[in-house]
Amino acid sequence: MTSAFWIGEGDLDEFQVDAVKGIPEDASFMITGPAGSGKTNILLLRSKWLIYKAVSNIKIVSFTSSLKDFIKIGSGQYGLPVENSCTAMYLFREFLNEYDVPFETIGNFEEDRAMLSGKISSLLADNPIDPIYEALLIDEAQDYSDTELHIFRALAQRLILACDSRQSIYRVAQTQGLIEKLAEGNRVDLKYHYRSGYNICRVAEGLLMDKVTYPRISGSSKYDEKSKPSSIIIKSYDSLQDQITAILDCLKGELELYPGERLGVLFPKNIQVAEFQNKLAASAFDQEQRENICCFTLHASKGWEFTSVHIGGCELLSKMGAVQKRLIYTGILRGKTSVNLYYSGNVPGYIDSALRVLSPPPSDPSFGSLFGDQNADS
Amino acid sequence: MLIRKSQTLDEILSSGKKNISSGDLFSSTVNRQVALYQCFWTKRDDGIRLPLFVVADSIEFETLFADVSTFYQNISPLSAYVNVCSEEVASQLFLESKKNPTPAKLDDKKLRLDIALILGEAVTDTFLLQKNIVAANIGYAVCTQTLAASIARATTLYPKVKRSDISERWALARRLTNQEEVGEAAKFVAYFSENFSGENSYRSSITSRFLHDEVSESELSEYFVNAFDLRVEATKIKEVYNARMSVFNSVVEKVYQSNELSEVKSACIAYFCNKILPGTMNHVTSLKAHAEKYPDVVFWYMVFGCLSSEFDYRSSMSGICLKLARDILKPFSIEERPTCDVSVDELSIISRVAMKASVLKPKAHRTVVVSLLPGVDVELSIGIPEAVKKTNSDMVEVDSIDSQKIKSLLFDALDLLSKNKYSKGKSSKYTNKNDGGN
Repeated sequence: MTSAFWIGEGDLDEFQVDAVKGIPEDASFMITGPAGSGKTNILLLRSKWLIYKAVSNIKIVSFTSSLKDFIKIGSGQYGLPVENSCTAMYLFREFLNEYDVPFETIGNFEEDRAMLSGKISSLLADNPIDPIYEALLIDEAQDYSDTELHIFRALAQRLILACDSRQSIYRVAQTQGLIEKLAEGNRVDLKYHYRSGYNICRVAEGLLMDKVTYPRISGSSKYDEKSKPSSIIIKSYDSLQDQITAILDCLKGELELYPGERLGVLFPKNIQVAEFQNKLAASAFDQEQRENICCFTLHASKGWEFTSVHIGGCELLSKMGAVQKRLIYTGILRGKTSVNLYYSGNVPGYIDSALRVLSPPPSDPSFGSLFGDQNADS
Repeated sequence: MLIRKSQTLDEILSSGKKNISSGDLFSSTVNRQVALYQCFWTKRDDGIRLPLFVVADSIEFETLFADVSTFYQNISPLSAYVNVCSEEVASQLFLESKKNPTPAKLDDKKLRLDIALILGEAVTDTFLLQKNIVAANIGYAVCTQTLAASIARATTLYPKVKRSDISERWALARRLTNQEEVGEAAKFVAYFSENFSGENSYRSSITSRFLHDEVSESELSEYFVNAFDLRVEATKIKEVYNARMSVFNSVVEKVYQSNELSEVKSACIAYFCNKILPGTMNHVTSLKAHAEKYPDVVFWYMVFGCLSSEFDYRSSMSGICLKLARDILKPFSIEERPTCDVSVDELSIISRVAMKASVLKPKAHRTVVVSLLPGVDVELSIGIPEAVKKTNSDMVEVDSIDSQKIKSLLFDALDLLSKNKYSKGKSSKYTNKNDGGN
């Protein structure tokens, strides 16, 4: 059994308990907190609490299908109906089908979601439709557009939104303060996070230097560093193939070290994921072991957590555009105890710089070494 | 407080009233040899109208159980209603004292070691059957059937009881219910258990001196470090968590190359395996590869794990340890009826003829709850006899009823032989003690 989901009330801190049962049954509210603070868990427990309160027409909405899978695992563990979880795209399509609105998707995620939300907005504007859900619980609310958020509001009697601006990795323009407004001003801030070890947090902080938008998280970590000292290291290999071989070697020992736990292997690009999955299929791992190895793109890993994370192909991060820092930040914070980064060639300088916080400061170079004297520092 | 009475079986069965028989001219004049039993009754009538305890010696047991199962089938097995035990056991229960005996103070170390041996036995047996296991999946039901669980419970209720006696009774119960041969793991339970209790005074190695509390854990650790050259590993295993499995593998490599005693090598592997994440038992699977060469390695791992300060039986292993602690520590009242289907003493006698479910009246299908001592029950599956298994596999068409008949006849023959053998010794026990007294 994995330790991603809580098993008892004793596992929750006061802020988390407040978010689950401290808000009146009919209220909408938002939950904020850093990665690993338990936002997804709280959505699941709140939905269970609502079901006990005879509120049954509920959907837990995730942004990606991989996050939906993670939520389904949690639903199973908490005894919730798995059909209550769906992606936003699925929810939108179902709604349009219900009202016989024709639409055609083209397979482009960004364009399809814009088209679907546009059609629903028009439908809602032309027809006064009462909220059809008793509650919608939205995970990763920071990734939705204003239009999508307004749709959620219109469709639900109660709207519960979990978000963290630090983890926004999709290109959306969201009006400042909109989420809070839609949540009727009710807000629960989760202070602590439990997922990632101190060293992992420090490196993540080094990636996003804007302390106002991205407050420090290492101080609020409740990870048990004493019993499981965390680590984050970077390794260089000649090729992606060599990186994958090294990752598979590491996984062998880690499956023994973390029995029954999920281990993550993440890459920036889909093509890298496919290459790893081919190698994994040809490896000597048995079915049970393979089920514990989850391989995603950095985008798709959002919302998941792994005891150990391997992030390969970091040389391609520089090709990921404006969200690249937030992508690697999100990927690193999927890891609880261990993070391994792999690259061939070069990685962006901000990664080296962030990792430097874990090394002792180098001694001052001698003046001679600046002119190429190799022995000057010895 | 229970009331003691010396009674014959007839008197016991007539609700404790003396049997008044008025003979006539035609009554037999032969002196009947009537056995008397020390019975303990409760003051209140619980409706069962049988004593709570009958204290007897082993030959009296045989008579009592044979008489009940022959002539009073409706209350057979008697031990389902009445605790029947020896004088030695009864003396530890203070049956006639005015107050219930004060429960002994919780012995934290004993409880930890009891749990360690139960887990060690359950996992070792699983490994030796070539099955995989993770700590979270160790089954509670398997744990309750272990010898270690019976010893833990028995030594909690009866501090003076010998572990070897419990081992014998447990093995007998298994034999009588056609269980498989006692596994390798149960033999280690006896070794560890006797070492902890001091029953075994022979200390050959540093590890057995550790079990006797003569060597501390830090001294033992230092011994391992020096004996196997593990100074670097001892430091590294406390550092970055993700590197600990490779450190442990390095320990194993060095231990395998050494010429130390097997028991010390086994304990060293287990010690460092526990150091990966002390007190969690999370890495028991890593020991599977070594269990064949070092069959006690899992026991050592569980011992080090349960003695770790990080181990808390109330929260470890998804609640299994808490449930085991409940079973070991649960109160036992001498004023309560047995909860078993049959005691091992009675089972050994009534199994001499073919056992039927209608006689045993087990709580669950194909499972029987056997009492080893009052308050010490073990739940056992009723296995298929080896003879029947072989018959089935070799000669499929042979009717299994025939083999049951043969078995029944064999038991009868053995019964007759043993009665003849002991008839002389028994005769003095069958005199009416009332007559002797008058």
